[in-house]
Amino acid sequence: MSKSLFITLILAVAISVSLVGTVLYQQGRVSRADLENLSATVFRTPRTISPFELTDHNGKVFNQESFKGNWSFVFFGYTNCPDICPNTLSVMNVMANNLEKNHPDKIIPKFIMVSVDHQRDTVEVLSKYIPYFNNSFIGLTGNSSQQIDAITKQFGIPYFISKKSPDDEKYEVQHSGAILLVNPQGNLHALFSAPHDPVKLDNEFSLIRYIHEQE
Amino acid sequence: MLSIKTFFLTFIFLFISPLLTADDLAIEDAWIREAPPVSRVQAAYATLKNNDKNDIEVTSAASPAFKKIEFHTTTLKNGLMSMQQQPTIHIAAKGEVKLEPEGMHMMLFDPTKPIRAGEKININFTFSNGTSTTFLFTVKKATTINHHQHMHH
Repeated sequence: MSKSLFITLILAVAISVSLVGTVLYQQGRVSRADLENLSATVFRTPRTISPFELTDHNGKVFNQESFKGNWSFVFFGYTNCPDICPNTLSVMNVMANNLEKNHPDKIIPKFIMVSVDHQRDTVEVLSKYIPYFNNSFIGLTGNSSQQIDAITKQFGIPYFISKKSPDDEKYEVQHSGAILLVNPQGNLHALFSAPHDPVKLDNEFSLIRYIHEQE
Repeated sequence: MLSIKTFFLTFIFLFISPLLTADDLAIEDAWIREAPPVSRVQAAYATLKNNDKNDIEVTSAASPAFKKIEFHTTTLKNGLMSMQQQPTIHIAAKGEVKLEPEGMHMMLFDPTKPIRAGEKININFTFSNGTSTTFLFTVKKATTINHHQHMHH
């Protein structure tokens, strides 16, 4: 099968799924119960996000209030990560492009990477790294582990800095590969576990958003 | 004695041929993820096919373009994604090993100079029988690739 035919088929399936979803919902046949069948975990009650304060890659404050007004996808990673982080940010870029194309009437969600390596990932480092993937993406970091932990703990994101010695500068950071979804009210809404497929993520997000808007 | 012509043709074959084979190891889709600015590490991926009836063991990899290359597998353990270093890449007789995003890959440390998409980089594999072969990897900016489609086409 040629690649373009495959992509066309995928798009056709995606469009049919979203059309069928819309029709079924209008007929009252899509409900919160359908969220149980998604691979995403949608929280029964969206969770309030407690105060935290980080700095974005442009040097501006980003806190729990900054989520309000738009959906946000939040991933946790670090810039010296060769495989998972660039791969997830690329998945998020494909998602952003597809959402823009398929839902031109909707605001594009925010896409955020929170650094779990604040020592190496300064604002300056993030300012060079994040726009490589997409100019509208947001990178967040802090000045201390406490600042980072204030968001990772409540988002349920474990991470572990594995330095081989105190002066090891090439250390790896083990971290969760999950992507969290925050709703426009600023509450934690759903969790997507790795591995991530951009088409599936977009489809599930569109359904989650649709149901949330009807409630 | 090896003639200059033979030597030259061997050289051409090694560096130009799109599907390089050494003994019975074939490599396909060999690519390096272009590193985002500030990142000192990146990954290389490929499909390694063993056409021989004996297993092949890649014991090390090296490149003039990087200070160090290691074999790693990305694993999910207790909710944490981490990378486990592997001593070798083992390719069973008539089998294949895929080095792919979020799976087994080569981790490339400290490029000796900035490497941009489109460049071709030599990576030399050393095998357990002491021989070695150089393969060509293409550097790609992978921010718009859907790997889940890419892997199954």
